[in-house]
Amino acid sequence: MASQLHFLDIKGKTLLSRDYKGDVATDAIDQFPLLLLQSENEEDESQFKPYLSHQGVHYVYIQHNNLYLCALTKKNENIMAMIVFLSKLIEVLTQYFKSLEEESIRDNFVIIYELLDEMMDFGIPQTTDTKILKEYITQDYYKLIRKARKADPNADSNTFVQPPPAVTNAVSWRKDGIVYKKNEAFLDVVELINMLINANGQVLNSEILGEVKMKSHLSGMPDLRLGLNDKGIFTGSGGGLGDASATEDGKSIEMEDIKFHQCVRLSKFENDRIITFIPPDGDFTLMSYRLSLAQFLMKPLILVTCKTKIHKHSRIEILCSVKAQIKKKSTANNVEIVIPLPEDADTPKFTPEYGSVKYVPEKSCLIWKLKTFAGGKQYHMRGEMGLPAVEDDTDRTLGNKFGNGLVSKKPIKVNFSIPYFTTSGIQVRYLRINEPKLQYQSYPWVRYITQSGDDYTVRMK
Amino acid sequence: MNEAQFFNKIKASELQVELEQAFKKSKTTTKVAVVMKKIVANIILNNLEMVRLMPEVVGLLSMDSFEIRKKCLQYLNAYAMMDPKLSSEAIPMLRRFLEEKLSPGLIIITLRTVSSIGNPDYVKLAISSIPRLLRNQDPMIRKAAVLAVGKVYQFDLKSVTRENLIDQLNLLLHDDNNFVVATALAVLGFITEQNNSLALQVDKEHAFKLVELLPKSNEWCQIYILNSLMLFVPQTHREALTLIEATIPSLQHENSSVVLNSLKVIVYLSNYVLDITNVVPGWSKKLGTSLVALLSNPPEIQFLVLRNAILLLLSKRNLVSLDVEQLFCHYDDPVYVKDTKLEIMYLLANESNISVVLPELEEYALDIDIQMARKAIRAFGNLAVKLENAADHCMSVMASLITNGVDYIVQESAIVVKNVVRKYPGKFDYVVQELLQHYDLIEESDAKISMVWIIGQYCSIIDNVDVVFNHYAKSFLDEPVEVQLAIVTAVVKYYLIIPSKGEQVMIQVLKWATEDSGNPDLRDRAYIYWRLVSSTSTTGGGGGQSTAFQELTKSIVLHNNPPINSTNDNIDPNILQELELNIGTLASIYLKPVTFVFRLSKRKTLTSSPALQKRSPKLIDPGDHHQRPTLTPPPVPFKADRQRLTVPTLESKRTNSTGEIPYLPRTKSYESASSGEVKKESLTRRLTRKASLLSRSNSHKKF
Repeated sequence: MASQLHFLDIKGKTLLSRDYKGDVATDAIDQFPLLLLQSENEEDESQFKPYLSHQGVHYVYIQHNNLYLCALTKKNENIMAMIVFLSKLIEVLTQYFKSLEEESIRDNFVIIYELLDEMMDFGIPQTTDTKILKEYITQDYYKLIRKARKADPNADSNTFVQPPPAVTNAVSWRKDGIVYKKNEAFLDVVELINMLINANGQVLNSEILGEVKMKSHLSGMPDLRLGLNDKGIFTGSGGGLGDASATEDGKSIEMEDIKFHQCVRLSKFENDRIITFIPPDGDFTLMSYRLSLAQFLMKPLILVTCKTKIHKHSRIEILCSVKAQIKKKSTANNVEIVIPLPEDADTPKFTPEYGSVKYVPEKSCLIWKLKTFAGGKQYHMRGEMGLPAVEDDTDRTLGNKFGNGLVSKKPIKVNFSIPYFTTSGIQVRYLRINEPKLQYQSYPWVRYITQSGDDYTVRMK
Repeated sequence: MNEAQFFNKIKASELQVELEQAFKKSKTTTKVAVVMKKIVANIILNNLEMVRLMPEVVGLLSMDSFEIRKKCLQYLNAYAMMDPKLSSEAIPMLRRFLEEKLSPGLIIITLRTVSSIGNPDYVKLAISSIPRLLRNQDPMIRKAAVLAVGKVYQFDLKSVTRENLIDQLNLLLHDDNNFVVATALAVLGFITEQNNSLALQVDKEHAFKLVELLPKSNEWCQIYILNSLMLFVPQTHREALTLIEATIPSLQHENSSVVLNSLKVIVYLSNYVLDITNVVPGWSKKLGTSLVALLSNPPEIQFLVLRNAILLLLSKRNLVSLDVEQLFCHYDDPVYVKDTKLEIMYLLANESNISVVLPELEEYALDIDIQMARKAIRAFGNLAVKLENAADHCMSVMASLITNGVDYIVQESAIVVKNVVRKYPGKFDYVVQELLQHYDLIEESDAKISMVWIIGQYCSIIDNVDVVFNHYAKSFLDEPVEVQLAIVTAVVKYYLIIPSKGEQVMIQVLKWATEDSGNPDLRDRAYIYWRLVSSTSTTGGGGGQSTAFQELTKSIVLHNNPPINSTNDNIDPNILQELELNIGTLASIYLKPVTFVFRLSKRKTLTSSPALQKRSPKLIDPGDHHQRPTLTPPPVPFKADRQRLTVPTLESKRTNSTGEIPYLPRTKSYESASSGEVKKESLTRRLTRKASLLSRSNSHKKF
């Protein structure tokens, strides 16, 4: 798939490379910083795409912190697999070193070199499962890795090098012989809400990105079965996930797209709508799903209306109100409303009815924080800031022409989290744990939380 | 403690000394390990001096430490080719590693190293060991051996064939371990692509077996298995349908590339199913949602998904249903994502959702980002041309945007309005009026060409027409030649329509064009016009002959342009079909025929079988219900046209000057393009141009 893999620093200098096939010239990567620069300076910005090509060599890259990861190929390769592999590589290395930066490459070059050997061979991805890799590399390099990874308690001093059977097992994500004194499984149902709301409080689009995360502390090879309250989908016909019609029952949920961890038996789900799996040990994301919110609620959970009035050359007035449109019993925590301001505003004065307001000049915005916010309540905030008396005439953007928009069109962003609540109403009915050999008693735990996603935004007028 | 301390360039001689000392005292292994770490650091730092350590490193192979041996192998991998003679001395030791019953781990890494070095001795060793290791009990070793076949194939094609290694790989396709099967598929795929005389085929029985392996395999194996399903040619609808049903669960995999690859397989197989949308109800929705779900990934992946969504919308519109709301741009999206989303919004727009799309586009048109605003305006124009019912709405929005008098909006609008008034002559005069309020804001030549064409065409309804003409004529000599040509044509039209006002400015312009211009095209055109026009005036307009001539002149110059339609929706169905088989590959980003980008790659086509469905024209039609697909040839960039040395007729010259695209016959442009590659710009760019649907149809600028 990929012929070469490179780690480069932010200036485009190669830090570490691995050649898998030898069909691309070794100096091809030297072109990369030039190409990058060229594409960034391109007149039309849309040319700046994450894929570059030069003299028949194609550069596929992603940026991560102060690093570029770049894969090179000459063929019409499966580029989706390449880019996913790169992001998985980052994931794996981050799990090894906590954070992946230029420094961590230098600090751990021996392991990285080795990992690259194990994760890809002849350009074909082999495995990107950190748990398996850790097992694998630890045995070879237990001493060294213990230093680099700050002590791995599982490291044993087995010197006979044997690749872990798990790599080629039927259950590749779990090894045999795991033992816990107390057998527990923790489920977290996390829902992220993304909403795009226009200045009139109308919802333009919305979605729930849900995840069921699990932490398993279970012995042996347990077989788990998860029951959810979503009869709407799970009784639906095999092919027609999307057109489940059981909406009359308020409790049933129509999930548009469900993705499962590789441990879930997909065919079982497809045929019988049952979620069964042998979990990996420790933390993992069991499933993720996406719902378009429109069918649940058309009104925003946290409604923000903000009016700004600009008196040119003197001051800007801000009047903002926020309402929690959730159940009375529920409470939203750590609500933050980020309102963008003109870059040249000064002398902030704010009078919030509740909570605290902070002006952050380096991001040209103000942040209104409300620690707890009970359902149904509404609060107001009034603010005023000075504007400079002179302005830059050369600014030819639209805002300036209109006279109101010294503020860019940057939207208001809202952050919040609502515990013990899922917007979709999804609930875990049961989690059956069955270990055929050991037959132990086990304790499943469940938690729910709804949070704002990255894109919970309200457009400004 | 970290390894950064070793990460420095170092002299080979220093390391030699360190090694000597390591052997003198105790704790040899630890010390040698440190030296090896320094060597690895220098491999990474590309320090060529390390070649000199070859004898020492070869010697170290005999130390009984896996850790050290592994690094020695890394060293050999990096430097063996630079000193083939000395590195061959490692062969006996390596043979021992491969043949003796040592740990499987050592066998694997040794085989991996030996097979990736092109030195003939190494290749010989690899080829002699591979057959035995392919039958090893340990699946990991079998897998490593399979990969080794692929590597050795690059170095020594003949020996690989002589030893029947490829046949042995074929046997492993039925191995009982999925990893071995998937790897064998990947390697065979690689080999068949290199070699024209070989082709990998999957029969029915095997295809069904492979599908069964899917759920049990790891994500990367799934990708290779899925891709191998593309090699199976279903003979009946039933077969294809069963395979599709077995592939559908993979759409729920958490690895995005598994999802996209299964999508590719499903789309491919759907070619062999009769009336697919009715057989599997709700299925277009399902494919659509799995595409949308991929959009919650980082922007690089989003971009890829979006490009493939465009491809699917163009070729298999009935298979994917997408809600246009899902594709609204977010403030933080990178430009390339926004851009692609905008293209999809354009493709998805139809009568039923236009009321949602237009307000959203209006939002973008007021965006602070100028590029984005321009693209949104372009989209307005294209939508107005595409959807007749939406044209009124689009143009009223355009008119209100123009009122603001912001230069880049006006300039972009000029280009767009020109296309729209050509499609609906006489319908949107109020927009033209609005536009003319701001004639003085126009500076870019593209916009100027359009604007000049508009005033030439509409001079009868413009109040201050003389002022406007004087404004453009004033700077005539400083303009680029395209604009000059446009002005020449426009003033002649002006004169023919309103002779009393137009005469002066026309004479002035023609004079400049014939006397002060060095460009033969411009001069010739001006002369021809002059001749056409002056024949009437010299004869005084009295005789019947001259009136007839004047009528003739008018009919030539004031000829109605051929109507335009949204032709750039249609990519050649054969190209689409090929791209469809390449979903998720590099070609899908470029939306260009694979051979344009990758000259050496094999062409993929749909293999015919009794079950293969003909592509109905409906499939090609991008959802535009009231418009049949037109087979207009692709637009050709302006420049290419100017290089043709044929003398253009008056008519074509005139169209030129208004910035419209002259058409070349389709076959010609394709033939010449097929031999080109990416760099050979103009030809291949045509297709990109077609693919980039929102690009303005008349631009000759890079975009």
